[in-house]
Amino acid sequence: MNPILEGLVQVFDPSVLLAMALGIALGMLVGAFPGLTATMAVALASGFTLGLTPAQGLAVLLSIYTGANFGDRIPAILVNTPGTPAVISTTFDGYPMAKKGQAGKALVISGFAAAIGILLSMIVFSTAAAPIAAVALNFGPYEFFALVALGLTIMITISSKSLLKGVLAGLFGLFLGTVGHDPMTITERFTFGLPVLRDKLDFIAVVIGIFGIAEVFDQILTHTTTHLKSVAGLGQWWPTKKEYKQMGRPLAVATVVGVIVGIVPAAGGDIAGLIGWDRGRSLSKHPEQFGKGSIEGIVAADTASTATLGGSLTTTMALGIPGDSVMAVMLGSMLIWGLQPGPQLFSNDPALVTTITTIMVLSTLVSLGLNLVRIRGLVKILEMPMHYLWPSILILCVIGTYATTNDISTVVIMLVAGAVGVLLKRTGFPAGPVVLGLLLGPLAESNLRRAMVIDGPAGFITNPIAGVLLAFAVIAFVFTLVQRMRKRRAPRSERSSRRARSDNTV
Amino acid sequence: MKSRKRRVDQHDHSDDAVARSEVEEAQSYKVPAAPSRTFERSIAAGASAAAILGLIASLVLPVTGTQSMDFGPRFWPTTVCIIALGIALALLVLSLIRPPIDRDDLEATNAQGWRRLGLTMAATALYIVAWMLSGNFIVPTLLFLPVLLVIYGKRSWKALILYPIVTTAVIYLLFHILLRIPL
Repeated sequence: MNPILEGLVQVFDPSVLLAMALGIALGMLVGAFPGLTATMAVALASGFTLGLTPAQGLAVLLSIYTGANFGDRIPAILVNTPGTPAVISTTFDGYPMAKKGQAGKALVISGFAAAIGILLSMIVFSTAAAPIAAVALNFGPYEFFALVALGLTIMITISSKSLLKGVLAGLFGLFLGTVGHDPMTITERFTFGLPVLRDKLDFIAVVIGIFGIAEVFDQILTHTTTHLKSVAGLGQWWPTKKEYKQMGRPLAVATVVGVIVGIVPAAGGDIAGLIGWDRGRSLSKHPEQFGKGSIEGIVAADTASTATLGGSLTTTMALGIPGDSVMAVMLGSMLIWGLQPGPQLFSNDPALVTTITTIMVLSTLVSLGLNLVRIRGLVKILEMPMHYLWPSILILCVIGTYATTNDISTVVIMLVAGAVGVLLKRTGFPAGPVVLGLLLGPLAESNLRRAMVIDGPAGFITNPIAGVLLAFAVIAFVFTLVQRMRKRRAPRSERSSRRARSDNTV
Repeated sequence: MKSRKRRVDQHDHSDDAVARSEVEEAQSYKVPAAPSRTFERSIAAGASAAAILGLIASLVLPVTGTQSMDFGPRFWPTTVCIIALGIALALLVLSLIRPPIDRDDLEATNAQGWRRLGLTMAATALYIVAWMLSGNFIVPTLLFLPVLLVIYGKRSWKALILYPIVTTAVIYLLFHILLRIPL
């Protein structure tokens, strides 16, 4: 059968469509609750999708990803609290619009912008993924090691307030990746005789712990009574024709920004949204309106943040390097289903490009449709009390982790990871590099050891692609370091307002 | 709580009447965590100690005679720990000579929060032990959930009876029956 037809047939199976519907519902719900992230939801769902076929599993996880990209705008606009970090920039103009009595319009415009961003980025995925994978088929151990180094470096530069702590987090993740069997021999490392550690640390358990449990623990730790009141009235729902026309220029600019940022390993919607908003403002005829409820501002931010999806998928599927933290979790799940993301994925299963593209397009259109329905009780969703939310998430994390292995010792791993995760968070170490290091550590190690045996360190010079990738990694790190050092030399008046107190508020 | 109501002028649109929206400013009482020199030094010292422990553990890894000593099982974890030790020591030096990084992306903790977290962790550990020993999911879960709600300050019958029963039932039906995950 023709691969395109085969891919379509896989998607239009009733079980896959049902899986998609569940994924969208879960994704929108999770996206709408600040404190619950798409990464957490995908990690949890991963445990439950183990018994599904790859098409069904992809339908669930990709639809959660898409649904969350719509649901997270709701609290951003109504309560000035982003549902996920990807929509931080949506709050810049979304909430001011809501305060002007235009919350409904902001939600609709935001929905359209998000949908168009995803759909345009899927054009990139469907055309670029297979050719990039074909090029990467020629990658050897030097190139793969350099690619991992680049991905880890970019994750560190983006996610860390302190570069040194970011590097340490990445190294910690790489070290965790050594637990279990040595990838090239059968030597056991750091298992302490425990059966649960013999076959390496369970990735899903660690991710659920670090992203799910740690977040809940942190909320339990810091929760105070807040009097957060959302905007109650939604006002006019549909934009006028003139307002639709205003969307054109920021849409185009933001799509380009989002696709480029998405292709960069580890860079996600939060970065793209901020850059897109900034670019949209600089190219707007009315930059003074940005930050005060500008339609162009919402469009620029939301299109850029969602346009990363196609780029992220491309990097993940074609190269096996996660495009963002959600992709990192999805990559782990795909390995369990027997799919090996990377250069060989599309040559082994050419229908997969069509399957993934169709799932993303369908789930985007359905999510957009749901987003456009004026739900009267929308604001009520956000008022669920935390004392019910915390135990619910906790028990779901426990069950979700248990489902991966039917072994309760995996739940223990998850809880330990959660405790470590909250410790990392309170001490300023980012979780992203830890997870990426854990996931890619074995790949980096096996390729580096192979490379050292083949031609030693000189191979990074004689293999130009590897050399260039490593050079990019070094440049990205040094550039970020220099930028931050310049910021530190800010005027004294700015620094004195941040004088450290020696209290024990940790 | 008094709210300020404001009439908002509406655009000319055939489908909509003039909308009135209640606009209330979101008030948040979140306090950012404070930077602390002592804390940063402790973190750096802890990271250095962890790197040293990792290095020692890596160097004592058993290797068989046929494995290459240059790039064998010890190579990667040893390399990672050596780099980590260097970075951690650099962090320690910086914590001594530079002001600490601000922590305004984190909320401050309080005694009540630590108590809540400690009790939650203890309750969760006991729950896992109870589940392991009994081999039964339902009873430990029915006990675990109300304990958590008591920790969070809830005493109503909805919190202590209705919520645990409904939650346990939903999870059991969904995962054990529908998804066939043996609980």
